[in-house]
Amino acid sequence: MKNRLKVLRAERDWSQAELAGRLDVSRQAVNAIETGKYDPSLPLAFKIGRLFGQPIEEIFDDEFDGE
Amino acid sequence: MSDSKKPPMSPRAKKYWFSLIAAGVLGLIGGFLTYPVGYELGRAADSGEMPAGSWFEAPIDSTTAIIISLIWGVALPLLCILHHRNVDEQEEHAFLWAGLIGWYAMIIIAPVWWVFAWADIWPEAHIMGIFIIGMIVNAAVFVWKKFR
Repeated sequence: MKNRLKVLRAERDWSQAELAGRLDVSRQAVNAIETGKYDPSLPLAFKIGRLFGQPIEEIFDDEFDGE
Repeated sequence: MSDSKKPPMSPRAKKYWFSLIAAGVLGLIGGFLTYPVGYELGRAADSGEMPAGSWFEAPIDSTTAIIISLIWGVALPLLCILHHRNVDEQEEHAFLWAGLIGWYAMIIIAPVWWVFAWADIWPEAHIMGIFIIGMIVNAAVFVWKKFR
């Protein structure tokens, strides 16, 4: 799943390790989510949304085209 | 916008690292305990008393065996429970895949080896050999899923 996590993180000038600390996950988890190799659970996605003050659908794109 | 204060390590992360470090320390203790067994094996192989490579047939005293079994059979499971209650979800995902593929490696290899041994194509199936293959596959899948 595509997402804007890397952009949002860069806007705040946070390293992957800093974001990982704020989300209480490993740096590898942040990297895997940013590169689309791992899709976070709903609780973690909500946590990410709260941290950046944005709804989940503004951060994650499931590429659903409505059909 | 920049807010680069790194938050302190969470209680979850502290327990996570404690379980890893404690497992490492216990592994070192186990290694030190088995070192004399390996040393004796090497000496026996050099003197021709025992063929080289027959590690699992090397003599071991019962006290050492009990201590190693307590480390592996009691302390390690307790640390595993602590560890798995405190890993993050991406690592747990890696563990689940590693466990599944490691399990498949064992249940595929064991019968194949057994039937080949039955037909006298290969030597008798070696339970520790199958265990080690399963562990290697498990570790490889874990590293791939967690760090790729």
